Formats: sequence, structure tokens, C-alpha cells
Amino acid sequence: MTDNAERTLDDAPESAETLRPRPGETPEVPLFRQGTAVARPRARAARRSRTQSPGEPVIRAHRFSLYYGSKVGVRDITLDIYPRSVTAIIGPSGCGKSTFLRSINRMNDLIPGTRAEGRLEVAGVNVYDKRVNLVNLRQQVGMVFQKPNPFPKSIYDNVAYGPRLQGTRSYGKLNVVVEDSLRAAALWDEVKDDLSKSALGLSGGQQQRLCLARALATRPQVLLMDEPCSALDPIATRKIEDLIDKLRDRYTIVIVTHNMQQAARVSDRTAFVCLGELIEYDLTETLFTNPSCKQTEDYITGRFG
Amino acid sequence: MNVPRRLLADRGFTALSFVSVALISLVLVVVLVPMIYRGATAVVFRGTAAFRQMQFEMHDRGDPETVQAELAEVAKARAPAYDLLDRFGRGIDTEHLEDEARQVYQDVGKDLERQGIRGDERLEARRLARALRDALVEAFESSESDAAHERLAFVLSHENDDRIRGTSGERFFRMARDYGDLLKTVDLGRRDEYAQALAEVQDALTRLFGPRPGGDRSPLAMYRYGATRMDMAERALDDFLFAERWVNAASREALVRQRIPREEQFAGTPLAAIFPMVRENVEAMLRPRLTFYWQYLLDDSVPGHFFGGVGPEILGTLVITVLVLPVVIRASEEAIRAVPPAYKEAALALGAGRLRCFLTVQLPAALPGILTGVILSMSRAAGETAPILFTGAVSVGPALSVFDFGETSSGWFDWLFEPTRALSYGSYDLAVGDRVAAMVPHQQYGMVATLIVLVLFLNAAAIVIRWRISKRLRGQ
Repeated sequence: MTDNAERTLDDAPESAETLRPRPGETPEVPLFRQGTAVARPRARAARRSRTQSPGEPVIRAHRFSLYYGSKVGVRDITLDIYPRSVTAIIGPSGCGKSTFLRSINRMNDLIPGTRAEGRLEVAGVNVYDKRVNLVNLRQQVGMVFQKPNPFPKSIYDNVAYGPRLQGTRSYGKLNVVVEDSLRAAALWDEVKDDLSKSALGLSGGQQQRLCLARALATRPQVLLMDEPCSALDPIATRKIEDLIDKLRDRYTIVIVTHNMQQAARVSDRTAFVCLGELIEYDLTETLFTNPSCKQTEDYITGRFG
Repeated sequence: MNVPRRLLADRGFTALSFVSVALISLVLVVVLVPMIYRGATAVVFRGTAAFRQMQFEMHDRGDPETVQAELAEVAKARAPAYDLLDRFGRGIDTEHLEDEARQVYQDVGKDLERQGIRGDERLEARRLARALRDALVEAFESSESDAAHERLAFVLSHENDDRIRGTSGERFFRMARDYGDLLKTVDLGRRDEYAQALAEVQDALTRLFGPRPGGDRSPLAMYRYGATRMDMAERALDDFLFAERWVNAASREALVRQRIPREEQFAGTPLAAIFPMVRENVEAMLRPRLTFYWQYLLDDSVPGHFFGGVGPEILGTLVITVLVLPVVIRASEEAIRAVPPAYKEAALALGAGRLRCFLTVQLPAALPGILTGVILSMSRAAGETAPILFTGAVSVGPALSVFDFGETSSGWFDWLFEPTRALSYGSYDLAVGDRVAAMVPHQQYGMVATLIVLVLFLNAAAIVIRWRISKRLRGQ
């Protein structure tokens, strides 16, 4: 990311970052609490020190393995992901980062022949339990994909899709949710006049933010991001990262990334996965400055992978 | 070919196709507008009393008392016209008068027998009756006024003759007096001319009012009722009020059509009064009322035998549907498969079930492709006339053995399966004004118009929907 881009963003108006209480909504419980008005690297460092004492973990994996038929996706993963923090998963291609991420909301079920072992809990419930209601799970665990994939519908309909699934029909309520979600995704000012236009007319970065808004509209606890910036240019990437920073004290965010700088910039904790196994999991600062494994050090210094 | 020339050719080709599209549209408009208009008038029109009578008698629609009351009213309004016609007809059409005279002569014979008169007296009486009869018949047959009057005078001179007093023979004198009165108004020299015109008038009146009440009724429904609709009635009225003659205006020129008011044609006769009478009272005589007639969709068409049953149409449609189904399915499959899997993933990640995901995301995205398949298949189906030929393409004829239930038929659904016309042929007939089409009492143009409008509307709607969806999908 260039200095120029940094400056441009720093100078950008911050109007989207303050959430006005809306009529008909209890002002003391805003739908989406915004982050501090300015979230910059210095502030991030300060936050990172604050997240040293995590609460009860939201996602717990205990000896979790997932197989594609006879092929191993991930094996014996044991890690705790803490609420209101950003957890990055890094590792070489094909190592199982995305597989693990997609296990959390069971999107792997789309691939025939998958089989899970061990425990993977979200808010205390084993998601691979047969009794788990997939619809509820996926509404609690939102997901943003690698490539922006808005529906070929209007911007409004894209954001309202989740709430409508949950049974919200009244346009009064939908309008509130759509506006709040778009504001939370810092997209409102750009699209507020074009809500009925097709989402496919937006730029790539805008589309990805729209996907984020769409995921936020179902009011999830956990937000999974599968390489959300890999298809975006540096400026759009920066915007997404700023958003992650703003959303971090409201949501539990798990982000898979190829980009180690990005992991270092946005995450509180980082997990390094290699060949389907968890190699190291620690505070981001620790992992990047003082890794305890040789393999991790080799990877982050670029000697392998 | 160099680039500018190719460009020119390309533009020319584009222009040509636009012109052809415009031409086709124009032709469609020229052909369809009259047909659709006729179709509309078949559904909404001013129905006369005869229409309601037909509906009641053929389809059991309407309240019997109301219909009967209306028919009685109408008959009352028409009665004076029929009276005039009869009175004049007696003077012109004398055959029945001659028959009556002969009948009276026979009655005289019977009366004499009953009175017990025998011998010479009886012979004398019969001779006189025969002479009177012959004189009357001669008078009736004569086309010369003087001769006729002479014969009538001869008859009347025997009015007080004792020989036939008290028998039916007295009717001779009444007939002679009546005919004498008639002769004052009728120019016997023009009797033939009148006879021909009278036949025309009677024919037009039958088309207007239907057959005379109490007369013979045709087994064919198309001859059984008068004008059922006001537009038809107006045509019949025109024939009734005006005679059409082709006259040679100038030698070696084409004949010229002339419209002669019948009032002029019959000027000076008692019949002349009938024309203003009918013209002014036509509303009372026909009682037209604005009618919305949709039941043609249900009508049993046996009497008209023009459109046939609905069954073959439906079966043909089904057969064609089955024929084009593979094309539609294939196109839909491809279209659904072409939807990016990312859409499905996104929907599922938001908590949609599979069916919900399909209905709200995949299907809308695939709709343009599916519609393309449907439109193409519809065009193909339109060309598939073979199944139609098999299931029904004739309007009159024996039913196919498949539909022939013979003795086992319970009857009520027979009309469903009787032979029917292929739409293309039927609409052609309608467009060019086929004779049968014009005479079917309930012109069912509506059915054809409905079908055509339906097909056009479906096509147009599909094209518009496809256009809009693809525009939205392109992100405009």
C-alpha cells in the first residue's frame, strides 16, 4: 500500500462512522456499535495490548479433523477463538485454512463426502452435531467470501436478503436494517441514492463491502472472512481492513489470508496452519516477532511456502 | 473486401433487417387489427331478443318467463308489419287465393249433401258454384284490371242467388269483394315485378325477425333465428329498406349499382307503409341490449358446426407440449447450471435453505436463459402442425376413432371431442369472411381472437421480462 493511498484515506470524511440514533429504535442499544472514530495503526497497537486478557472463547476446536473422503482437510486442530477480537489464519496454499474456516459454519457440507471428527463448538454448541439447525448456525456465523459475490439483485435486496430470510417483511424495519448495515460497512454514503440499482454495477471493493453489509444484516456473532481482499486492489483492501478494525469490538472475526502483512495489521491473534495441522497459535505480535516454531519462522520470513 | 465497404454492407444489412421487421409488424397489424376488432364485437355487442331466445333454447340460459314475456312484446310490436305484408301478399301472391276458391267449391258440395238437397237442384247449385269458382280463379290469374273486374262483377251478380244461399258458397262473394278492394290499390300490370320484390322483402324480413311465429322452423340453428346481434340486424334492415339493382346507365358501360328505397318501389301500394313502420320501430321489434357474451367458450357448437369441440385443441396442445418439453428442460438445465456457484454459496451462508436458495437466487438468475428456451420452443411448437392435423383439423366430419365413443358414450362429453378446426385455418376463414363463419348465429370470432391475443401477449410478456431481467443482471 502506498503512502499516497494512506493519505487519501486519512483525509476521507468520517461521516459514515458515526451512527445517528434513528426514530423507532431504542437509542441505548444501537444495532451496530461503531468503533472509535479513527482507527489507525497506532490505535490498533493500543487495542492489541488491551486484548491481552480475553473472555470466554466463542469458538473452540478440540482435536477437530475434517476429511474429504479419504483426503485430509484439517487434522487435530485444537484452538480457542476469543470474542470481540480478530483472529487471522495464515499458511501456504492448500494447507486447510479455508477448510477450517468453512467448517465453522459448515459450508463444507456443499462438498459431497466430507466427514468431521472431534469437536468444533460455536458458543458452546458442537456445530457438527446432527441436531444443529444449519439455518440458525449460518445466521449466527456470517461469511464473506474470497471473491465479491453479490446477488444479481438490487443493492437493497442484497442487504435485505438475510433479514427477509429471518422473516422480516415490513419495509419500515428493513429500511432501518439496510441503512444500518450499509453504514456499518461504510458503503451508505456511496450508494444511498442508488439502492434500487443492481449490485453488479458496483466496483469490486464496493461489492465486497456490500457482501460484508449483507452478512452484517443478519446480526451474526461471528464473521468469517475467507481471503476477503485477495481480489481487491490496495485501496479497496485498505477500506476493508479499516472496516475490520471498526467491527472488531462488536464481532468475533476470523480471517483467512495469504497476506502476512495483512494478518499482522488487522489481527489480535494469528494461527499458522501447515499441511492440515495447526503449527502455532499465539498473539499476533508474539507470532510475528518471536515465533516459537522453526516452521513458522521459515514461513513468515519467506524461506518457504 | 475492404473495411469501408464491409462497413457499408453491414449497415445495409442492418437497415434491411430493420425494414423487414417493420414490414412484418405492419402486416401483422393490418391482418390482426380487423380480426381482433371482430373478435371484440363477438364478445361485446348489442344482442337482440332473438339472441336471448337462442341462448335460452340452445343453452338453457336465462329466465324462461322473462324470455317469453320479451318474445310476446316483440311479437306484438311486429304484428302490424306482418299484417300489412299479408294483406299485400294476398293481392300479389294469388295462388293461395285460387286454392281457397277451390276449397270453397268442395265445401259447397259437402254442404249441399248435408242439407239433403238432391237431384237437379243439387246439380244446378254445383254448376253455379263451379262457374263462380272458375270466374274467381280467372279474376285472380288475370293481369289485366278490366278483365279481372269483369269476372268479379260476374261473381257478385249472383250474390242473392238462392241456389247457394246458406252454404259455404257465400264465401265466394266475400273473396270477390276483398279482391275488388285490393285491385283498387294494386297495379296488376306490375304484379310480376311486385312478386319478385315481395320475395326479397320477405327474405330480408326473415333474416331480420326470423321465421314467422307459428311457421316451420329449420332444423339448422343458423336459419332458426332472426338477427341475434344489432350489427347483423342493421345489415338485414338495409336489405329490407333498399333494393339493389344493376342498371345500364349508358350503353357499353359497366353496369352501375343502384340503391332504390323500397318505399319508392312499392309506392302507391298498402305495403309502402311497412318500411317507415319498421324503420321507426326497429328498437321495439328487436329490443337490442348491450350484451357481454363470454359463454362462447362453453358453447356446444353442434348447431353451427363451425368451431368444433375444445377437446382436440387441448389434446393437440398437450401433445405439442410434450414434444417441446425436452427443449425447454434442456435450456432450463443449462441456464441453471450457468448460474455462478458463488450465488448459491452466498445464499446458503446467509442461512437460506436449498429450496429457498433456488427460488430466490438461482432461478431468477437463470430466468432469461429459461425464457429464451421457452420462446424458442414456442416458435417451434407453432410450426408443429402434424399433431394438430392428427388431433383435429376439420370442422365437419367424423370424429377420430380415438374420440369416437360410439354406443358406450354417455353423451355429455361428446361435444368435447367432436372434430375441430386448426387455429390457423379457422382464423384464415374468419379473416376472409367465410360464408359459414358469417352465418353461425353466435359468431365465435371471440375464441380465435382470444387465442391469438393470448399467444401474442405471452410472447410479448416473455420478451419484456427477459429484457428487463437481463438488463438488471448486466448491472444497469
